[in-house]
Amino acid sequence: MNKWFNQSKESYQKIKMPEEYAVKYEQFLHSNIKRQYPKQIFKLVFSFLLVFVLGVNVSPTFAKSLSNVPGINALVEFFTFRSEVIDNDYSHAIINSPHIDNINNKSVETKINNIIDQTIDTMLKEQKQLDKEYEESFKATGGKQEDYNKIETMIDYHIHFINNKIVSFDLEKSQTLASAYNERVYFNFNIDTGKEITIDKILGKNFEAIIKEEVIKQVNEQLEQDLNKTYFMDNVNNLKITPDQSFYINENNQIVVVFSKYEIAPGYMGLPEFIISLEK
Amino acid sequence: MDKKAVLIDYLINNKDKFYRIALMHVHNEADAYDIVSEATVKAFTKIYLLRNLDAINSWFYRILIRCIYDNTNQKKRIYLFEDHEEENIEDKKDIKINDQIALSTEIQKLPQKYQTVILLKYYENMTFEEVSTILKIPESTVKSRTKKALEILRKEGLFNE
Repeated sequence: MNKWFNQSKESYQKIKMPEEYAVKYEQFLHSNIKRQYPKQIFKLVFSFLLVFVLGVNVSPTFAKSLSNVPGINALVEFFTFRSEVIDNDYSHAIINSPHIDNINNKSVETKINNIIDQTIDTMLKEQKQLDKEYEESFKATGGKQEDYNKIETMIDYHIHFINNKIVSFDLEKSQTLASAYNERVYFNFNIDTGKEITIDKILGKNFEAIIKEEVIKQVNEQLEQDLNKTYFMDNVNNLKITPDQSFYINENNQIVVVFSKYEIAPGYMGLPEFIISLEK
Repeated sequence: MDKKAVLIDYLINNKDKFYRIALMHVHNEADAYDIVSEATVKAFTKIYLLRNLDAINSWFYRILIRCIYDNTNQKKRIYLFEDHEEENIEDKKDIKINDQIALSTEIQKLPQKYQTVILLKYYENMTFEEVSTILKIPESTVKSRTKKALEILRKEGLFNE
C-alpha cells in the first residue's frame, strides 16, 4: 500500500468518540442492564392477565373450570351465556345475554338465570312484533322491497356491582328505529336468598322522601352549573316513587336511582341518574 | 445475563471503532453517535439471536451497518421534500470539518457500498470472509467491490505505485 493510504488509515484509526459522547454511551450501557428485567416481568404478567381475561370472557368452560380452583371463586360470577346474531327477512338483532354462575345455592342461580332469559325473550318478542309492523307499514305506504332497511337491534348487559351477597346489573335493548323503543331493565339480587332487592329494603320506609329530596337538590345544582341541562320541573317536583323504582348499585357501594327517558327530562338528557348517599 | 455482560464489555472496548465507521458514512458527529446508540439498543433487544459468542464481532457489525444504511436512506428521502441546494451546502460544510480529522475525504466520496467494503477491509483490517458475513453478500462480490473501489481511487490519482 502506498503512502497516502497509510496516512489516511492512521488518521482514521485515531478518530475517537468525543469525550461527552463516550461518557453518555457508557452510562447508557449500564442503565440498560437494570432496565431490562422489570420490563420482562411486566410483559409476563400482562400476557397472563390477557389470557385470563380473554379466557373468562370467551369461553364459559374456562370460566367454569377456574371457579373450581379455590381462591378464585369470587372472581368469576357473570359470563356471556348466549351471544348470537338473528338475521331474518325483516329484522336483525345482536344478542349478548349473561348468566350468573358460581352461586353456592344452585336454585338461586337457576332462578336468576331464568329471570334473565325471560326478560330477554320478552324483549325479543316485542322487537319482532315491532319489526313486522314496521315492515308492513313500510310496504303499505308504497315503499319498495329494495329500499327497505331492517331495524337493527342490540341486546346487551352491564354489570354494576358484584360481591358474594349482592349482584346489580342491567339488560339493555337498543335499536335504530326510534330511541323511544329502547329499554333498560335493572336487576338487584340478594344471592343468599335469591330475592330481588327493592329500593325500600335499602332506604327504609321513608324511601320516597329521601329520594325526592335528593333528586330535587341535585336537579337544582345541575341546572345552576350547566346551562345545557333541562328538566321537566313539574314532574320533578311531583315525583312519585314506588318500591319498584329502577336503581343500581355502583362500584363505590352507592345507590344510583335511574329514571326512564322522558320521565323527568327531555329525551336528549338520556336516562337521568342520581346518586343517593347512604350516610343519612 | 452472562451474554449481556460480554456484550457490554465488547461494546465499551470497541465504541471508537463503531463511532468512526458511522462517522465516515454520515459526515456528522451527532448522527454518528445516534447510529451507534440505535445499534446498541437493537443489539440488546435481539440478543437472543446471538447464539455463539465468538461471532459477536460480525453480529454487531451487521446491526451497525444496517443502522447506518437506514440512516442514510432516510436522508435521501428527506432530500425529496426539502430544498436540495441548502442541504448540499450543509453537507459540504460537514466534510470540511472532517478534513481536519482525517485525510479520508476521498473515501467518503465513494459510493456507499464501496466505501463500506474499503473501510472494513483495509481500515479495520478484516478478511474478505469477515466482510462477506457482515454485509451478507458473497465473498466474490466483496472482492469485486474492493477492486472497483481501488480503481476509482487510482483514477483520482491517489495510488501511484
